[in-house]
Amino acid sequence: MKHIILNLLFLSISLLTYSQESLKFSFESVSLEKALDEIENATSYKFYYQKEWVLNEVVTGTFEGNDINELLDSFFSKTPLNYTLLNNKIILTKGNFIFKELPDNFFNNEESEKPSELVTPILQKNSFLSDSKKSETVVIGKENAMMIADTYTLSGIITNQKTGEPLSQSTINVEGTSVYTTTNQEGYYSLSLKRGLNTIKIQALGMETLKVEVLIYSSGNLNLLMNEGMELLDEILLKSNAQANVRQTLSGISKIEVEQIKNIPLVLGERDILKVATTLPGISTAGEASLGYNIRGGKTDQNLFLLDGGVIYNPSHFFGIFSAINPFTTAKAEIYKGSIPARFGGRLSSVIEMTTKDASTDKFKGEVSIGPVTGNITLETPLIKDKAGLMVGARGSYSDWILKTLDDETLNNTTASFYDVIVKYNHKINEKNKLMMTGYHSNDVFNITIDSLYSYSNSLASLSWAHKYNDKTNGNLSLAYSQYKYGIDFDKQTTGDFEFGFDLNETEIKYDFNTQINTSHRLEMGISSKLYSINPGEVNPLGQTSEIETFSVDKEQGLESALYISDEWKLTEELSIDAGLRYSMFNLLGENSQRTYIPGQPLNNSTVLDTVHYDKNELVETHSGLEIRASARYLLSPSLSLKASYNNTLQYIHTLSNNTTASPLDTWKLSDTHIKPQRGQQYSLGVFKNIKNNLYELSIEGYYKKLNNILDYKVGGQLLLNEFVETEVLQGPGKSYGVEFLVKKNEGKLNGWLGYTYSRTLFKLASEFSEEQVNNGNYFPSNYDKPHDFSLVLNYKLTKRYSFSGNFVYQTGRPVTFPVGAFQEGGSQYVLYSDRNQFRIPDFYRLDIGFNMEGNHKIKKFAHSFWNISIYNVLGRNNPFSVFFVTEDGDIKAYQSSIFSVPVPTITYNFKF
Amino acid sequence: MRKLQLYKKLTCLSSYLAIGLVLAFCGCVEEIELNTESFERILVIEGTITNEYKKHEILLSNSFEFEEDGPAFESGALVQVLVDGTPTYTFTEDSPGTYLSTQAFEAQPDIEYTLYIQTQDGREFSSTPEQLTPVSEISEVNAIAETTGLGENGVSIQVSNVSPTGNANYFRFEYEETYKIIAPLWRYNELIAEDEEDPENCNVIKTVKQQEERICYNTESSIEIIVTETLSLEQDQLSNFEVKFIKKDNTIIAHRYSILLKQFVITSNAYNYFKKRNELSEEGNLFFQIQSGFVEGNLNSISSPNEKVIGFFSVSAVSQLRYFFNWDDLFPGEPYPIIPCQVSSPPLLSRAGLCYLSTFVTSNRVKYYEDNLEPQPGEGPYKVVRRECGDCTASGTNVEPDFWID
Repeated sequence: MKHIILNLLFLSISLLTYSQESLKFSFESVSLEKALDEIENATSYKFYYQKEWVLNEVVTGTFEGNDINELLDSFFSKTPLNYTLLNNKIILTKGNFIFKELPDNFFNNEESEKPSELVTPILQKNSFLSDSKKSETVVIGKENAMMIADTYTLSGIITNQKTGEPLSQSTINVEGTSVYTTTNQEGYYSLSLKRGLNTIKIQALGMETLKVEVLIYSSGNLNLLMNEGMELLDEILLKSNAQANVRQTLSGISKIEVEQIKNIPLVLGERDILKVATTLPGISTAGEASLGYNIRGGKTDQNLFLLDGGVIYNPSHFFGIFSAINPFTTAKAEIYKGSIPARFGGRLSSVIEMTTKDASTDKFKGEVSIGPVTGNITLETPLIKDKAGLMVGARGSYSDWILKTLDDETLNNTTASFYDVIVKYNHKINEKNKLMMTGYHSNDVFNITIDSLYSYSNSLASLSWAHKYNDKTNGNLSLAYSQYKYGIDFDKQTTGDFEFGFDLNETEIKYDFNTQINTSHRLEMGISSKLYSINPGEVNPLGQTSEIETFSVDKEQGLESALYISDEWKLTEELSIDAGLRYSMFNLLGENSQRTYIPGQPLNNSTVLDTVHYDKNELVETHSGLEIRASARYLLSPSLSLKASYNNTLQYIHTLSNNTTASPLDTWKLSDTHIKPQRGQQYSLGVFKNIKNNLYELSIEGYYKKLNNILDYKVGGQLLLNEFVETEVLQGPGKSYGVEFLVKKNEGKLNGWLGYTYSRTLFKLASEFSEEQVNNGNYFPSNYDKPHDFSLVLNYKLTKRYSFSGNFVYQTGRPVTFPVGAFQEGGSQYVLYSDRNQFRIPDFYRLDIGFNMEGNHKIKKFAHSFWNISIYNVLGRNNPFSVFFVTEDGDIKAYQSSIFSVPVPTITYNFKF
Repeated sequence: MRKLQLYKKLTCLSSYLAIGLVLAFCGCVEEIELNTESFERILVIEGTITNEYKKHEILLSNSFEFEEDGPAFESGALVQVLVDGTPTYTFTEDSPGTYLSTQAFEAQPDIEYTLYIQTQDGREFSSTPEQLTPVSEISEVNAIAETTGLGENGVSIQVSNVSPTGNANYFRFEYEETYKIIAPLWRYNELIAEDEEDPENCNVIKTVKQQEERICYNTESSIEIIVTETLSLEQDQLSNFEVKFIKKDNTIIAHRYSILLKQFVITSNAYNYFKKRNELSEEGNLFFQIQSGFVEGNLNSISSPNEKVIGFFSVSAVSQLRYFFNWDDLFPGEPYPIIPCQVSSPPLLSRAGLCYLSTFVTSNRVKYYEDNLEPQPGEGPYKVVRRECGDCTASGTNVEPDFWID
């Protein structure tokens, strides 16, 4: 340590001091320290700095002139250092502030009563303050006795110093107060500060926390750069914006960062963002191998899965054992289960917004993972340095090969494989325009019997253009296309060979606009329109000899449009409201035929009055509704808040499924003249508390949902290839309520979370006609009504490189309809079933453990490796997945199936370069 | 109908798929013990009144637990049919659970019939009022040699009908099949024990058969639910609707076969009821379960509205037609299926010195085939076959039915 300068106090400083010495230096890869020594020796200037600041800096270049500032600029512009010239003293500082508007002479303020700390104007980009405990003081404005207001506005933009990307959703709060704000999409913030000294703390996901002391005397601008978090073995498994859980106006939001879930043991070693989601309160699946998620009592078709703005209809592989979301290319998933922002619509229960990482624009990168079932490779390459990048992620299974090696002859001849590919292109055209394109395709193929080939796939393409009108106003135009289809080829070389196909296409155009009107209002509005085209089912003969006749159900076409506006309104520092309105409209368009039925009669084939035919693009039916999205937050203390929300939602597209769990054979159906849109209303109330500086997060949330026109089905019921589905469908009210409890420990050797949910979901199907009535018209539990749901996820870090993790899940068994006896009718014996969902399968519980090994952290290593060894279902619990009944030789037999009844060990190897 | 068959195939296919998948993932499917979880004894009512002039029949039974063998019949109930709300026909118990109307009658159109039942323990049930369904006549029954989509050969029995009014759209079929049985190894002689009374006498003697045992007839009633509708067809009539498929290797069609097909015109509610009953009795499977549940008919409890009752009371227009065919009509020149028959020569005495052949003879389990002229060690004096091979009365009656035409 040569010279130490730390927090020098100056009451007045003159900036404009020049020494007119002739300067002539030439450096060729000389360490900065040496270069500074040389200058000191040759001139009268003296440098004051901490040695470690200059350790790795190297100087190259020639300088000739007499302006020391020019020389110093060339030296330090590329380093994180700033300099201040005081007579012949050059004081180096390591700071991170860029002042855009510094008033003249502000250091010459003789009237200043308060001593201010040294202020260094920082005029370069690479500056950061990585240790939140240290702080520096920024002075904004000049104290002026004539203009004393109590509060001033500080605004600016927060950027990731490494990538230059604005950091949205960063939180800025004033320590010791409840003053708080978050940045908008473009990283812009605006904050009210009390006159004088304030300490502001800035937190953003994946960024190191920044603390800045601000001495404010007038409204001003402060742009901040933040540094990415450096820890490789992240302690934080799952973090919401620190403080965000308390401070966000919206409630019922979970955020999952893929990087941070890699330690959690999962089945067959697949890192899976959606599976992790199910360990959070309020999110569950019907079973281990089941498609679809039930979120806060919602049916599996009531979730909007968005990947970069495009809808994914079936985000699952292998019947739901894996999710179809590539964990390497995904940055994060945000799950809105409570307050759904007005910009989303079309589904009743939740929105799962998944965002793909931006491709690197500065260097070539890659990540490879090898697991027992799948291999995964992701590559990123810059296309235009610092502007455009391309990422390609591909994942495929080699389970086909495994099946071939099995002894079982039937399994030898089978196929079961999947793959998914994602391509992302991001291009920052200039400061104001950014273009993003995503293409995605997933595919599953099965062939378990030799004569049938079964496949399903999702495709998606999205294009979005983000435009910044100014610092406060942004617009985003996006276009998205997605397709879901499945097919079955039945080829037994007989006359009965056929191919069956279903497909769904949707194309959406959307424009979103947001503007920060002032410190207390942020307005969002937008318009969108989506065209659906569904081919509900088509059968064609397969091969020359097939005698199957072509049969298809009429195509469906519909247009779903919406208009929304919402305002995030800060009434006081304690109270904020996010209120939005969304008007959505659905038009069913021809070509189509709709039956009319005798009024006051049940809908069945015998009550048909007429069949009306509609021409191509003719308007068949319109449904519409106003949706209110309102939430409010009240801060009881800086770390304790109370939130309430009310939401109502509409859904115009429904799955048809008479299975107790979702299956890929489910088809989607648009609302029509008979099938009304599903409607839902949710009321929620929650208390959120952070303890010990966010080390612990606690929340308890209660909700009550009123549902209407929920789709259910008559007993029996043939839905596939049914032209008149309305004769098998029932619609009725439902209700759902629950309490969700979550404790998270975000940091430390031992971290993780514990979630518990008590919830119920009940439906009611009452009618004056027995065929349209279930359980005598009383409320009955839904298929996925699981009152108790407990999850514990823990991670214990032994050292920087080694960690243990484990999770435990317990759930009440789901309801089933059981045979309760038999009876004889017409000489045959039949099973007598209980009321619908009167019984429950045994409770579900499972323990998984994992051990993670991180490669060493040598900087020069080519690749960074990561090993994960895990055992799924350590206890070998034979969790029943379903119970079914078969009549064999006149006897009724009951079977129970389970998916993973034994412990499943897995080793996965990942490396990153 | 193709659509429905296809649907079945699709779901069936999916179940294979699913089970295979589960195996692939080291999961398992295991049988679990089926216990009656919480048994409710529910009254089962079966009753159809037709436009035939006869004593109509109502059957009352109860649901039973899996551990029981069969239904317990409901005895001592008051069974009435109300005509336009007035109790008109009373049914009396003929045999346990079977109630016959005390007088013969035929259902008339445009009149409301309601079934009323009061059980011995005082529970009351009634049906919704039902009217006689429109008339439809079976116009033709046909048997055609066919190969199914799954590659099975056999006989498809098909029906066509005509509905004068066009209003008869839902049908349920019952049938009675009668077929000729010819004992393949019939002989003029038979064996009897020399002295059945004497346990020491193990001899058997050959004598002439006392009854017809070569040609017999057997009659069986349908137990499956056969329902169909014509609304999905272009015309309001059935044309070659398959009511039954008999596999080619089934010996019931080996010689001459007759089917008496009975068509009931039913209401759409009845159709839905029976259709659901059918769907629910099909195989359940892993990923593609049909929504199971209780199927409500048109009967309700008066005394306690939440009490369940099973059954459907119909007032149906009936039409029936008999059809005959011979094996040679459909498969000329092809060998007909025969029940498997083996010839053996049991000794008179077992190794322990007890009567052997005579016990088979007295219990009527074997029939004489021929004399064993060169008995090997351990063989008896006669060659015999199992009863079915030499005696058709084992599986039918030797009385030719009245309707039988050769």
